[in-house]
Amino acid sequence: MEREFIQLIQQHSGIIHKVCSLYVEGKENRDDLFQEITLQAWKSYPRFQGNSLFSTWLYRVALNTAITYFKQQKRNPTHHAAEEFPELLDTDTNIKEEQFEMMYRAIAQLTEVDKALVLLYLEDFPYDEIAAMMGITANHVAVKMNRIKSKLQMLTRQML
Amino acid sequence: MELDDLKKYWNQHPPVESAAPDPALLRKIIHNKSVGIIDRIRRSLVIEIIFCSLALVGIFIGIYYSEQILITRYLQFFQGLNIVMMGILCWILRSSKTVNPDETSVKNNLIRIHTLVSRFSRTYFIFTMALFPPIFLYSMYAGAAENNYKSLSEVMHFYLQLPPAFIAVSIGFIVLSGVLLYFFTRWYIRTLYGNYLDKLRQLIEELDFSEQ
Repeated sequence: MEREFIQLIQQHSGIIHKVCSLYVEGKENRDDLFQEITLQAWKSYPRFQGNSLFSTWLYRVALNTAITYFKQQKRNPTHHAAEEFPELLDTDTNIKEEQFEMMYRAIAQLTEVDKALVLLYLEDFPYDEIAAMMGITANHVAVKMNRIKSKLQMLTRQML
Repeated sequence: MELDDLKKYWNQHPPVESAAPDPALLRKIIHNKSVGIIDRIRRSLVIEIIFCSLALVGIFIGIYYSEQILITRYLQFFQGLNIVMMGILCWILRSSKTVNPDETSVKNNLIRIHTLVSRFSRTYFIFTMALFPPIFLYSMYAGAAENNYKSLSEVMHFYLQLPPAFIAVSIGFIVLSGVLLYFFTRWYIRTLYGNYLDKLRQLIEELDFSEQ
């Protein structure tokens, strides 16, 4: 079972990296959260019965762990959210680097709950799946997403 | 730029993830200790249950060898308190097993963790405060026993014949100690778990608010 789990985590480690990048700043803090999520997933793995995709299940574990992970973060003053995705910035010339950086900085200012919603939205989960994962209704996910979009617009405008 | 622009871009060019972690590192990680609050509480509960069990054995031995009735009664009181405390600790430990990050939605998970942490901190507070009166009663008895007063009526007589000023100062001291212990324990528990509980409450309210 251990080997099987390690293989699955290797295949889906990107999910954990994305969650870590949204929730904590700095490599050291991200490594700590990565370890915690992996450990929680391992402890929960015997209950995984394959009723859903492993990736969906891992999102649930990762978000539940990250949202309640209020550990004192080690300081990293040089951190910029856009640094988490270097190739994303290097490969596309249509969208300015600054705009991405601003958007990631704005996302970093959201609450833990809103960050979870943003991540699931960016990952293209349908509203009913987001609702099931968050424990609210699909209508309320839509309402929340509208509010988050407005808030992000406002935050990025303030940064200009 | 809007979130939908980022979404389009995110889907067309998914962010490059770090290389898959080394299996040896993952193997090491899964055998580490968790730093999550629930696991820390579970470890703390297990340690407290072990200490309670050891204390219970010690109390049994104490009762067996005790020759003074008041000491026996005192130990029996602690025995009862210890058994109740062990029962509650086992109950909290059992309910902590229902808090798993894979089984429930974010909102339910937050509610479950909040319930467990507040239950744990409340129990901690109640038992710290519950230990205060018997400890004082015991020290009063021990003081009287040094003067060879054995039975309860003799002990009472010993204290009632003391100067009223001394009795008043002693009562004042006990009350003040009780009040200080109350505020100190409250402050200590708040330092340990207060901020965490506040943050959980905020997140739950945020999800509740979105229901309106």
